[in-house]
Amino acid sequence: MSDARKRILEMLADKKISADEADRLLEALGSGDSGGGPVPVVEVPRKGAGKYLRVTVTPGDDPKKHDIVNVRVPMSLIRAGIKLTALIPQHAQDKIDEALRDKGINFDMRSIKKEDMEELIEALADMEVNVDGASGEKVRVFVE
Amino acid sequence: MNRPPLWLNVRIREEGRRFGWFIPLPLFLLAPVILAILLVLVPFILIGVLLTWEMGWGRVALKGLLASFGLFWAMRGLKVDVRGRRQIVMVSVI
Repeated sequence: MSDARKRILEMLADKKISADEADRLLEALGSGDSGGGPVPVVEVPRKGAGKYLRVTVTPGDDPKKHDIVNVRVPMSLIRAGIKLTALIPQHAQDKIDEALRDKGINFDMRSIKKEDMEELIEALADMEVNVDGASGEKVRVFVE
Repeated sequence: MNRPPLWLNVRIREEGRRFGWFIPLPLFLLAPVILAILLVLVPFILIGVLLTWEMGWGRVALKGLLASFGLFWAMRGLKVDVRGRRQIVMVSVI
């Protein structure tokens, strides 16, 4: 198996591309191998970091019983907010770590680096939370 | 690079009432005023930072100021729309 073919299959396995896109890429690769002509470029939509974090709460059967929430937070604001965590005093950070340890989460706030935060924010693009309440209300958290 | 917020709208209305509070805040008009105030205050801020540097507060204050500025700059696009049973609150930064 060629390197390119292997990479396409890996991208498909990682769900970075759809089956159709993988098929087109493999086809393009195949024609390139046999004909020797220019290989057509198939644009793979990149699921890059989104621009906004959205939180929506829609009411269910009885709209008067539940609140309607529609919040859109720019990712840049989240980044700027994270920078503020550097200002948390040492003793407060220790308290947070201790509280987390009590809950069974062994996490050291000081170990978070800027690169990790960036990676975390980028990973948010793949996150989606869908909660359907008992009375029909829907909570969605996603990045767009 | 982010563009700074230009306009802030705040709308608060009690449920059942026809009218409520609507505060449109033209940030682009306020920016020159705030900038002028900051320019006047900069020497005092710097003196305060230098005086408290040894205690560690100066560094925190300086970092805090810069982070707050960054936070304000990144606010463009923020939208909060909460329609509660008693109150409707809408905040949008344009």
